[in-house]
Amino acid sequence: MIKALFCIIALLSVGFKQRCELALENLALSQQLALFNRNHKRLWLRRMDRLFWVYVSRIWERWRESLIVVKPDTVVRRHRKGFALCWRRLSRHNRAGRICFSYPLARDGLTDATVRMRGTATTFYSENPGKPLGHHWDADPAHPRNFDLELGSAKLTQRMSEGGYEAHPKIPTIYKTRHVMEQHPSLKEFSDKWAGPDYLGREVNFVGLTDPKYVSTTPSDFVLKGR
Amino acid sequence: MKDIVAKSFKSPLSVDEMVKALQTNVPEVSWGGRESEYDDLYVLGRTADGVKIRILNYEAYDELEVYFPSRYFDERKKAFMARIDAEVLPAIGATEVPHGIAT
Repeated sequence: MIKALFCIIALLSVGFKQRCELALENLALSQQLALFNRNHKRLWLRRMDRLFWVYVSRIWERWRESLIVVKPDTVVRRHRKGFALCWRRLSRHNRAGRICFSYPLARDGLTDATVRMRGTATTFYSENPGKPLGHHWDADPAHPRNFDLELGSAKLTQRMSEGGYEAHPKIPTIYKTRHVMEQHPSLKEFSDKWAGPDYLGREVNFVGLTDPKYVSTTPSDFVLKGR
Repeated sequence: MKDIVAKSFKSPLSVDEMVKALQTNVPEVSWGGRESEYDDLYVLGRTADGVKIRILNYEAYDELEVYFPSRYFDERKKAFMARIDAEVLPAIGATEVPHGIAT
């Protein structure tokens, strides 16, 4: 009795599935016919058409067989592009994969700071009056060294000199990583987090610039060079 | 006690030799050599619970820096520093430098 019941359910589901597939195939073909009916000499795909195919490709296994107007690879590429865009938005603001300097600098009151990564042409500033805080820089996995980040800030220079910190024994134009982190706990927390195995897996060292020519007294616009 | 503690000393070993000596004598910390733009080659040790140890070489002296996680209380920090004095510094042949040479 139970076996018979299972058989009936299985038969009904197969029938329903076939009808579903038929309906999807009809829909896909009608949509492509509608594309050809539009008054354009060239085939013109709108955003809704692209979204339609991205959606159909997700819910229907045999979507490739009914697609005539574009190559299936094009649909897959669009889908991936859309996903990358979505992931980029999700990755903002202190999530894994990107580094945001503005937050720890603002927490320690270094709102006038400039941050530069040593050894590359990348220059970026922590505060941008014209745009909201939260400029990001993607970690380059090909960079073999640890990250040495130079902090230039009038406030930092003032605090370090008031705290009696001396310059680096080898390079008198900077303050040592340890001294900068002693004075600024947020930078230590930031370094601990990003140096961990879940994030970069490399050391993040902050050094403070003592040379006044590197210290910006007025917040500059965000600059990103060389990338 | 601060979250970052430093000790100055002088060691006859190079960075590679220090790494080998520490890997042998203090195996519960993972030791390795690292390179920094400002500090050149240095020794980095990490414990499983997040303490970071850096051993830097300056011309006149060497420096050991211990970075504690913020959840560490004073007693735990003191116990850890006692282990540094008893195990890590003897392993790298550290001798004291004159007081005040390091900042």
